[in-house]
Amino acid sequence: MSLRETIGRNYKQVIYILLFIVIAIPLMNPIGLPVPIDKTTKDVYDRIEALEPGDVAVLGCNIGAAIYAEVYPQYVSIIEHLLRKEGVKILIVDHGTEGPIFTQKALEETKAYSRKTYGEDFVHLGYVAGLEAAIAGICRDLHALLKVDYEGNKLTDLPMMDDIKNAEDFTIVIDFTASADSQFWLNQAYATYGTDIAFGLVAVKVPDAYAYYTAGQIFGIIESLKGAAQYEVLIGKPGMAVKGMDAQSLAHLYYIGLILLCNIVYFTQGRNKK
Amino acid sequence: MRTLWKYLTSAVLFIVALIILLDFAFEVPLLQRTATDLNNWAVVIGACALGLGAYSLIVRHSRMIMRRTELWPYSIVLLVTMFVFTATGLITGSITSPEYQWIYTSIIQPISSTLYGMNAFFLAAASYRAFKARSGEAAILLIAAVFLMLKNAPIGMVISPILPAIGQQIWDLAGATGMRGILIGIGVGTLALGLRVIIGQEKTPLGGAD
Repeated sequence: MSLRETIGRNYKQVIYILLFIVIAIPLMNPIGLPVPIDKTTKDVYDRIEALEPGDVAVLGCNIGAAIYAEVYPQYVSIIEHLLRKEGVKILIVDHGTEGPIFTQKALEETKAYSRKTYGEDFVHLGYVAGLEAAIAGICRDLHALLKVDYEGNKLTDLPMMDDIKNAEDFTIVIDFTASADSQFWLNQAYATYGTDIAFGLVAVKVPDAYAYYTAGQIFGIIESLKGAAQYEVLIGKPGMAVKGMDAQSLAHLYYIGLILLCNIVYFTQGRNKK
Repeated sequence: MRTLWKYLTSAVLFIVALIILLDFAFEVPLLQRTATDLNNWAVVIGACALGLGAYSLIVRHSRMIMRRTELWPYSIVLLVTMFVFTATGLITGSITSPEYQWIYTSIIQPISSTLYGMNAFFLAAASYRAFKARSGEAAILLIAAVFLMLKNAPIGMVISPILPAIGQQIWDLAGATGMRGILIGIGVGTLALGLRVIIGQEKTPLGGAD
């Protein structure tokens, strides 16, 4: 069997091996392609930059292992940015059962516990079951819904929570997800209380959110790994996402190459048949 | 008896929905308190549903193991995994304990990420096998996809700033407007379904259409 026949019969394996190489090489030896900043990401950055002491930023976390690579770098960058803002309060609530794992990981990675005082500058509420009802409850009357935080501390013992009662006290909400809870925040916080909302999303969720962005209902979107890389650049702390962008660029080029090749083969074979 | 039960549940649903809707429209302290309580009940029920889901999973997979149905060994894997995670969480007292984190980051995270990452490989094979310009519409889709890929990766800007600009135009004009139409359609559909549920025309949430 000739090499051409072997490749022809095992073309899928060839495609997979080449994709693996295309992704692995830039991850090991970054090319350092520039990362252009999208307006959707810049808007999130600018809104956080405009926060003043006493403002409350709520972070919704529905990060799971499956979306870790795309959304977790966004989450870390936003927490890092918020921690740099003096006097800004951070309230974190998890919408997925895996959320607390990634929230604690992000708080440790950003050294939140040593940089700020827990209970005064930031609070982690933990996982709240109930999807939209949970978000509605948080927006409506947080203290009526929850009595303790993730660690079991009474909310009444945490000074930061004295002034945070409902969505009227939230300055901004940023939800990190691949699920519908971003929509729930929009329904419950934006539509009812007019709270400013932004999303950190996986790529497949972006088209939904973009319609809300262009309508002015959300102030920004961090779009998948690309958005995370842009945010890392904006805060001047390149990390995991920036490293991944070279691989993503080459993978996209590879896909385009495959599409072209597919069509060349398709039209060539079509002509031969005729 | 069954009919009476259905009338009763329909009536409860109608009253609850009315309270929530009125609370949205008017600022009445009594309504607000009642609506908050009802909403908090929904959250508690949501939390209980997690336990119910776990119970249902255990019962179902235990039966599959006992009956030696097809692929029953996977049921053992599922139950053992559930038991190990639950026991570790209960013993260490937190899902962020080092022990729980170790199991999670060593097993679940790599498996989930791998499964999600495999999409990239399927996509590569699909790009070669299926993305053919068989018709005018397919050709438009194909060209749009290429521009959007170049918009979404920095390499597009490196090749030429025009490429991502074209991608952005496709995204703004075709993507966002099309998606907005879909979203408005979903909104209207949800509203209609909600009204049907409230007035008792939609029986599915109450346990079936019969």
